[in-house]
Amino acid sequence: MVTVCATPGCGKYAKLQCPTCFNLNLDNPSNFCSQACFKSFWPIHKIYHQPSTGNSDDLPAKFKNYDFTGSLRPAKVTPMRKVPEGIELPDHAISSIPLKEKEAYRKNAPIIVYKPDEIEIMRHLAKMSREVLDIAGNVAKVGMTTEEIDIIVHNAIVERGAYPSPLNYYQFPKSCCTSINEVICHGIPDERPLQDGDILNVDVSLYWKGYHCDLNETFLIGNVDEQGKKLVQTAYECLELAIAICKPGVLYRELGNVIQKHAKKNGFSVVKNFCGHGTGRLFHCVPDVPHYSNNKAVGVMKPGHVFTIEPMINEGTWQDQFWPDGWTAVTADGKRSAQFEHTLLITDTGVEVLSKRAVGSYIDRHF
Amino acid sequence: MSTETNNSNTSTITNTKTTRVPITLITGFLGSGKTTFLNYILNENHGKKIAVIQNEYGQSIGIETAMIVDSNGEKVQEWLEFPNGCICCTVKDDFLQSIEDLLKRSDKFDYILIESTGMGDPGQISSSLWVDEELESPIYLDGIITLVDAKHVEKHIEKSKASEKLSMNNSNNTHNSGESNDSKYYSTEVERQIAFADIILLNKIDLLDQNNLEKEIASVESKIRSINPMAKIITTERSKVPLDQVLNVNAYTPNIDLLKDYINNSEKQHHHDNKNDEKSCDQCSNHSKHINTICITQDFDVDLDEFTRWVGNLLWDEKKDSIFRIKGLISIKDDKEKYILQGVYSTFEVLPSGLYWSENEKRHNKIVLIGESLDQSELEESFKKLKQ
Repeated sequence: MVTVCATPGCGKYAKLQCPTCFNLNLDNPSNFCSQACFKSFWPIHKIYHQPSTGNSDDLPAKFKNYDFTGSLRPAKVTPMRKVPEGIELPDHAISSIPLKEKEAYRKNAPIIVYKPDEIEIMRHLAKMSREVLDIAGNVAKVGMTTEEIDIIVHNAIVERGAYPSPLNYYQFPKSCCTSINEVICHGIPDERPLQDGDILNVDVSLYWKGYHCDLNETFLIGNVDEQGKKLVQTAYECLELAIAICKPGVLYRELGNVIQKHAKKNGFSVVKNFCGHGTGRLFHCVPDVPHYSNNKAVGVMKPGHVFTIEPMINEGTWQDQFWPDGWTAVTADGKRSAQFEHTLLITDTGVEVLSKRAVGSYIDRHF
Repeated sequence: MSTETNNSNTSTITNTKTTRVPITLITGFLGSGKTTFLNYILNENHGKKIAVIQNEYGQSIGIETAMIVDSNGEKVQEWLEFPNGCICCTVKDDFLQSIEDLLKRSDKFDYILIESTGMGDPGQISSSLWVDEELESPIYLDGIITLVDAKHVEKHIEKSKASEKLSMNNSNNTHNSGESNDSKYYSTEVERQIAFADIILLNKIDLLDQNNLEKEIASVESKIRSINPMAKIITTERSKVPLDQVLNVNAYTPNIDLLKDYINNSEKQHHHDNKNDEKSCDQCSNHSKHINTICITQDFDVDLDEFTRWVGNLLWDEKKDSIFRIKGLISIKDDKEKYILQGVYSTFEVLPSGLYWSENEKRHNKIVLIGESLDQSELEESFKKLKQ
């Protein structure tokens, strides 16, 4: 079996095995191409050696007596990471409150029409954001923790001179959201190792030169069952079909009709309590983009609008509830949920997927 | 990262199929008798469990002590119980949060009343309470009641006309008189409150000239109709009205009978207005910024998507912030079912009514719009573009 170096983004043939992994007799030991790579990735890799947490004795106090809807349990969350000096911060980075966002909602501000120079910045930002998500997708594998993914995402973002938008947003403690199985969205990266058969959504948002970009994907970890693959595939297609109708003149409310119809056709339901949103100068702003049908969302698409579509598709009920951490949204029946997200720009003639892949089209994925 | 859908905070409480609790929004200018109305509800023996949510600035109802401070120094709501089962609270600024708190209480309520003075535009509040059906929220918006002071309302409206004239004449100089600006602001508020209403309580009729009562009432009614021809008007003294006339009206469910009432009222008023207008247009042209009603009747079928986009463009773009209410009966192409259009402020929906066009019935569209200085022919021409 050919193994690849465990250092993210290295991709070289690996001929050295980590001695600690060997001594611990881990099921999925990590291999490296060189001593240099091993040394540089060690600070992150070593976390992998810690014994897995997640049994109920270890639960933080706030989770005691909580009636979990599924089998996933929270694990240890490490302290909030800092960003290096010199990185431009959004307003919530210090105070945790996105004051400009609140102000815009309070004033009932209209949907922002972005100017060409702003769009140029957002295009470049979206390209970087895509790189970061792709890195997360490439490293995610059985045995790795979402904490490690968060470290990798955090470092990849700050390396690019950007700020991880979720960090300290209303006190969100991490630099990305990692949502496993029954977690619909806003899962907090922690020290639970990924298990064979998990579906994992990584939601990445960057802030750079005054603008935010927001995207996510659901990844298959190891061998996912057919139903799980179908769920992920359907979520992907829902996003794809919704993007296909975007153009000037279309109402934001129409997207939900397309998404719910496709989900229903495949026997799945659509999450209603979370929606897509305008993004750019603010992390979250109008328009609200619900993913369910017959919604009364306000707004008509116009050239220069920038927003996300991010359908969350469930195996069972659409109803959700929060874990006692106040962030993790899980399905009320504990069944799985999958999601995909793009940041989109309405052009004069249609739509541009700002957060598209560098190679191939955004519709080339199959699970 | 996603944002939470509006009003989602209430939906986490659902998952049982219990009956949903209606919400009525109560608006009214200072002195219209709103406090008396709320007191009447809180103290009358009506056999209903009614919750009243009142804003902080409401006075004289004797609930100033209802706001208490908890150990963290945060203000929390305290609900005051009344002997007849009613409860009442004051809120700082978040209606939805209060509703959520209310629904977490173990005791069940039949009804929620929200008083909206000082909380900004009744349109915005009502659109936020008009929750999407799909969200299966435990609450629903039943209607908007506006109390009107029968004796003073004409004066308030006249004042606004006067100050508008003044500002038109001194267009370079509008800031010279704080007083006229103030009176304009308040009066416009009165008109908007009337425009948004489903039900208008024409209150304090005992203060009108009792020798000339019918004539006086007719005069005020006609003034109100000229602003909102759709609403049901009920005359009251000291805000007393049988509650079944004003609650559970289901103004926001697609009910075709109710819609027909609204449309008939509007058409009557509309024809009446037009007759006057042909003789002398002074009334409208002088007050270009006044609230008026337009009725569009056309007999072609429309495409559902195109029609919805047309309404969206009207409310959010072409006539942004100047259409307050919109209602209509719509004939959708290749669909035997009658559709109903309903809108408040920037929120609207087009839904099947459950009733069908009969064979010998002439299919048609009828749309009534209440807004600021709407132009009949402009809107009619715009609508006709949907004809293919």
